[in-house]
Amino acid sequence: MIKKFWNWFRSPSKMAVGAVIILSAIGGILAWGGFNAGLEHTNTEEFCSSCHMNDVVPEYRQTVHYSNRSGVKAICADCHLPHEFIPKWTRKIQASREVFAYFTGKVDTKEKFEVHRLEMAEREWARMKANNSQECRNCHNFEDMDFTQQKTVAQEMHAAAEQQGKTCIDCHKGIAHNLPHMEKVQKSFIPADMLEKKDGASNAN
Amino acid sequence: MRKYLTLILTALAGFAVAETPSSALTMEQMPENVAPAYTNPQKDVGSIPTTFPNQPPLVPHSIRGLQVTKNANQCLGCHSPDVSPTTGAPRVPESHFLDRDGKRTEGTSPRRYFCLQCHVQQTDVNPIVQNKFETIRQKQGK
Repeated sequence: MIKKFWNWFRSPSKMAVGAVIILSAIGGILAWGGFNAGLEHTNTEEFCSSCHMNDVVPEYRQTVHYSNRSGVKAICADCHLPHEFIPKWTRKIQASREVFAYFTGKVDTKEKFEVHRLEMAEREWARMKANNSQECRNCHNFEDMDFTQQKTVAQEMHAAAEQQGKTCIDCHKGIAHNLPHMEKVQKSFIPADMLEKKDGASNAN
Repeated sequence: MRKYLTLILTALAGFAVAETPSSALTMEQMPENVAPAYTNPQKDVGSIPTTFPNQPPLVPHSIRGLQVTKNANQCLGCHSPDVSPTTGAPRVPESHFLDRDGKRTEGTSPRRYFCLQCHVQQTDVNPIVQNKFETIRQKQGK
């Protein structure tokens, strides 16, 4: 049986070469297109919500990234999935672990989710820290911000953050989801080292 | 006799039908059913002066999306004593970190944890009953 298949596979086709090329081209287009369509489907809000309706989606729906005056919104994949080819694939392959966790029921109740919230949040913060908050900066850029249009505190903090090479996620944690228990994470949403710098300066004086 | 009775009854029924709509407001028109107009809290109005001694200062900025939960208190992110020199936000006084025995607690105190219980946001509304309260400044001005 296998030998027969192998013989068929190795022997040249009796079809015209043109037909073989056209057929494989059509097959290729269908396969690649279908694959991409399937992948795109896993990036939609509906797909994410089909499991996360119990935990993070209702939280996200309260925030400005879901509902706001101008009607521009950022859906799950806009923040949680990199747009670039290789980072996107890395993330998609990592996501297969999450599918496994879903089937084994690791976080299938709100209580279980809360237990693991810190660990999951830290993983996501580390990812965003590593790529300099690329997913935020797809829309929000220091270079494009008009600091004069911001609140006084925001002006000062953004200017300081830019000087010190901070990235969005250093301060802006929990903008679309409830925060995990923050006691061990850092004192506040001001980065610890930004404070140390200030303290050092005051000590020098 | 029966003819008259029918006539009278029909006339009465006619009145009854005619009167129902004009007699009262429909349920939807009842004052209780008119929702108060939706107003947004003020976004950033500098600082609002206090009007009586020991008044908890009001929140003069938007707090949309800021969390005060069992897990995190984001007010303290700017207002806690250790970060307020950096952020320039009014500092939470010492008294807010004492427990009921007057001992200083680390970071937060359970009886002062929920900032918005006393420090409230303001919004521009036209209240049905006007406020006739005179602030100290207004009184002293007289």
